[in-house]
Amino acid sequence: MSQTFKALKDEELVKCVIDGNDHAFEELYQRYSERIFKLLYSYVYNEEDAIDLMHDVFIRAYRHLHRFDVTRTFSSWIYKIAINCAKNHRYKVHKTDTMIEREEQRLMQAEGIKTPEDYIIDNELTQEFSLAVDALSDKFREVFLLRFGQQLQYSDIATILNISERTAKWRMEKAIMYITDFLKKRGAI
Amino acid sequence: MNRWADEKELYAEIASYAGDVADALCTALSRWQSSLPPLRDTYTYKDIIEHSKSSKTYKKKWLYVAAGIAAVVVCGVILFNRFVEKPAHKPAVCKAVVGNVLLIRDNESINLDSGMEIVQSDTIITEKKSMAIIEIGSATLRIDENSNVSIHSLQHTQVLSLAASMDKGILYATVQKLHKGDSILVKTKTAVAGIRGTSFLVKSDNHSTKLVVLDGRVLLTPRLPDMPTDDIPGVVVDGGKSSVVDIRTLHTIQKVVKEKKVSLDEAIKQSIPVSKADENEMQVLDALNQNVSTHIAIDEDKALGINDLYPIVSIRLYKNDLVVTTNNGIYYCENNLVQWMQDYPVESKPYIWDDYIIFQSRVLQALDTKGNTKWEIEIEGSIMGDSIVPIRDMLAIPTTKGFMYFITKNGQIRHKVNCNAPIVSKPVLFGQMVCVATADGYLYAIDVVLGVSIYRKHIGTVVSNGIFANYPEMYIVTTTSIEKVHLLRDEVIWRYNDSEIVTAVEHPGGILFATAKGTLAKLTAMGTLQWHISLSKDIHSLQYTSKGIVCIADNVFYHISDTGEVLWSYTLPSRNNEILALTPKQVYIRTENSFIILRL
Repeated sequence: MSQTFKALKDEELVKCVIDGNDHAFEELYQRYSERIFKLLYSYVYNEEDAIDLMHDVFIRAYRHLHRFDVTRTFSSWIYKIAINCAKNHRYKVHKTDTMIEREEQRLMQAEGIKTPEDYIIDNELTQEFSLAVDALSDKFREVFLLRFGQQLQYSDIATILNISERTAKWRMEKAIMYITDFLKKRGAI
Repeated sequence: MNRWADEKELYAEIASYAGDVADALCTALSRWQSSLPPLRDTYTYKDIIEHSKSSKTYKKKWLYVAAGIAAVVVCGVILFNRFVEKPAHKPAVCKAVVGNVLLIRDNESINLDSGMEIVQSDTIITEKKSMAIIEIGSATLRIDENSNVSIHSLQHTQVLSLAASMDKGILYATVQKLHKGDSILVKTKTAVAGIRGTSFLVKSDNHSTKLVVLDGRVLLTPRLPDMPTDDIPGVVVDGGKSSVVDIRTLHTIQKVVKEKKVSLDEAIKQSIPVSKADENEMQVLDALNQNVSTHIAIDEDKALGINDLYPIVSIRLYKNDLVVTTNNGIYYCENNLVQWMQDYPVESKPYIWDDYIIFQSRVLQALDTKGNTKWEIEIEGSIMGDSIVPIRDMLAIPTTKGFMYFITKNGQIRHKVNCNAPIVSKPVLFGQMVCVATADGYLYAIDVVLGVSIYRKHIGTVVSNGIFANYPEMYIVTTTSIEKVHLLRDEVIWRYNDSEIVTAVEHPGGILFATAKGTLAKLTAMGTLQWHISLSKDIHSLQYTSKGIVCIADNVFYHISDTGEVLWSYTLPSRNNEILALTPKQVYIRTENSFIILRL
């Protein structure tokens, strides 16, 4: 890949892709694939599903790049797509995946039976923390994952979620308080 | 974008929220972050691009096969449709009602209520300051005040078909996802508007019809006597444009056609000009559009109204709208329906300053009436209840940490005065000064221009029931006495002692006060008891308006004349009631589990 692309801004890369240069898309993919994957993984807690979803996110982005408003930021656009994909996935999974099944999965891990989650949950605190994040309601989890999973600034989170910066900060505070309570009640901290 | 927060910044944030368990939480967060697996090289960008492109080729490749299958399916569907009824659209349902709305059905008049189904031949009449929202499939109709809308035909089994007529009034329609065969027509006395995938407003009376289109296209057809509407060509009104058809237009069209000067089509085009819609009308329409979509978005089954907000902590009136706070957020209500909300904790009762809503939520902030943050400033301490007061071109804001802030409209702190103890009274303007009482028993007078305390006097006891200024004199109300003092001469003019004074307000020519025993009384400016009456215990929410005195005692609301006669009373459904807002015409009361508006 040309070094030229590395020097370009996201939005300039988008223009290049629209003009037919697919190598510019490679740069965008490299910049965002790992981040988008981790965000999606935090939603689905399954590596295969997260990879498939990420694949889907980038396919959607590529197909609809011509609709992207280059006066706005590419990152907020692709994060929006990712969050929508993750929510849709959660919605579909929730229809079949009952709380009992989820608890069974958790117990299976505790008994040492390998599940995909075993790859990431390597100790009790991490496991409890994951459960706490998972138990957050959507609006709080979104902000938490974008802030602490993606290290985004509040101004960017506000743009992605179409809320005010103040609301994003308040949701973050509530999310931290909830996680703290959750972990305290379960004796994890 | 692309300025990522670093770990230090994130951990500092956690520390500010999590307190003593911050370290443990940071450890957990760090482990959680590192536990997220790295991305394996499962896909490359080439896979993505190839997949995107190949799926298009794939589509082309299979297009012929799909077309064949589709042809078979279409034939099947046609045959199926002949014998089997399609699933029905949702019936027409009233989603919300404000004020008095009548439903005329089978020559009988009943009050329309939300949740009621609307059927063919119904007529909906909205009275003054009333409104109804009807949802029919993907269409939403808002019938504004003083309107008369009749549903001539309504079908929602196979296709959505609505024909309504409006003799007079204002009808706003927003339509989404109309399918083939669906049709919505609104007839007035002078024209017919055909809706398709659009949002528009029709204003009608006996003589004219005005159409304003927000987006999409509407075919506006004049109603010419002795000619079926289907045979009359119309004019297309696009988004951002408006048109008017009145009686004179109809006469002109008929005359021109009769004289055979031009064709009917040409006559209509000439007589019904389509012009750019007035900016103000477009803004109103846009606001209406947002209004309809907002309450649908908040709850698909029910509009979020003021009665759905609980527990209401405060209500402020802004023109005809309400600003409501609960424990969870701040809501802006128009026609008692929520237009927008901000879901962060509101720690003080808001103050409406022109078109700014000022309140405390960790920081002091101002929102405009659209919900946009105009400014935020840090202040020390909390604002006590209802104590923000306008002083000239500033707001005087006392806090529990003993600071008196003077804030300008653009969010600048002009003065910050330390009163050394929590401020317990609402500030009052006293000549060039602002006076407040503090929890350590002092009275302060602060120069508004200089922003410095110029007078400080120990008054011995905590001013629990407020200070009321009548320059150069002042009433100071504690739990056991009411004093009238001449502040400049520093002397007590008179003192009235009573046991357990629980609340007091200013009243023309004196002061009203209530005691824990259930007595409501008035002291004149001379310190004599003018009248007193006995009500139930626990008198609170004592207020005065031009219509008289209002208060709640126990669970009874009282309206009392200036001479101490109970004009009427109303038993509220529960205890723990509070008067949240008062106008000369209405009083807004929160009860334990509901919200009541009484007319004065």
